[in-house]
Amino acid sequence: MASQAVTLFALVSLSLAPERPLRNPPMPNGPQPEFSTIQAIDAVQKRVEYLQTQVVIVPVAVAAFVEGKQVIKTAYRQEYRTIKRAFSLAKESVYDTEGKKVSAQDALKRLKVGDTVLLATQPVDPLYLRVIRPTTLILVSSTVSAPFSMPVPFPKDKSGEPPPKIHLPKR
Amino acid sequence: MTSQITILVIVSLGQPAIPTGPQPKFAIVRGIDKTIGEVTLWQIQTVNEVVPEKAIVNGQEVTRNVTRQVLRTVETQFSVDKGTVLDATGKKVPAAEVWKRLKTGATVLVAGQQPDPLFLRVVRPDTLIFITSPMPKLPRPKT
Repeated sequence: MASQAVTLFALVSLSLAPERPLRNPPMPNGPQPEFSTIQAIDAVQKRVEYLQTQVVIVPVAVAAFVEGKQVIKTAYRQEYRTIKRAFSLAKESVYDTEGKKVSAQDALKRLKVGDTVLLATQPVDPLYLRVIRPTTLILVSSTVSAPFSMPVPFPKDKSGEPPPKIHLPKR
Repeated sequence: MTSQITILVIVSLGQPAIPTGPQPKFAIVRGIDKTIGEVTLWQIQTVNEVVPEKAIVNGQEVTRNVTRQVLRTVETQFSVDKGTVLDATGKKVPAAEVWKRLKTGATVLVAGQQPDPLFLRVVRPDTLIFITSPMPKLPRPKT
C-alpha cells in the first residue's frame, strides 16, 4: 500500500514538473539534404532529370577610384546557378521519409514532372526529415555534389594578374 | 507580335516551374533565450577545405593541395524580435506564437529570403522558417 502511494506521488510530481529544455539536443548525422525539382522523367531508361541550385563565385571587373584615378579592380560576387542533372532510378537509391527504400518502379509511379524532391549523398538523418511531408521522395546518389558547399573557397589572389577586360563608359 | 507572345506563353506553360532564389537550409534549435529574444541555432554545413597531400609524381615525392569536403557545425543566433518567422505557407508567424511553438531540439528552416513555394511544397505546414538578414551578423571586434 505504502509503495503504491509512493509510486503515485512520484508520478503526480513528475507530471507537474515543468518540462526541462534539452541541454544538448541531438544533432543530425551527415550533411543536410538539398531541395530539387524534377524536370523530366524517362520511364524507359528509368532516369529522371532534376535541377540543382549551386553557389558559384564569379569574378567581375569593377571600376574604382584610387587616389583620384580611375582603376579597374577584380571583385568576386556570389551567384546562384541552376544546373540540370540526371539521376538513374535503377542504379541509384530512392528513399521515403521513413527511411525505407523505394523501388525504381514505385518511384516512377510516384514521381511527376515539376515535383519537389530531396537530394542527398547518403541516407538522410531523421532529424532533418521531421519537417518534411511524408509523401516526399529522397534521391540518394554518391555522385550528387554535396549541398550547401558554403562558404565556397575564395579564389586565389589574382592581384598580380591583369583584370578581366571591361568597357568603361566614355566621358 | 501577338502570335510570338502566344507561342512563348504556350512554350513556357509546357515547361516545369523552376524555383527562384536560394533554397532554405535545415537547422536545429540549440537554445532559446526569451529575455533577449534570441534563438541559438546549429547548422551542419559542408565546407570545402584545402589540405596538403603528399603524392609520388615521376618517382619523386611532391606535396600538392587537394580540396576535400568536410562537415562542420556552425552556431548562429537569430533574433525573433528583429527577424521574420514564416510558416510553410509563407504566412508571418507572430513572435508570441513563435515562442509558444519553439522547443529546444526542434528542426527549423533558415533562409536569407522568403523561400520559393516550390521548395516549401514538401515542407510540413507547421514548420517554422527563420528569415535572416542577407548580411551575416559580424562578431564583436576584439579589444
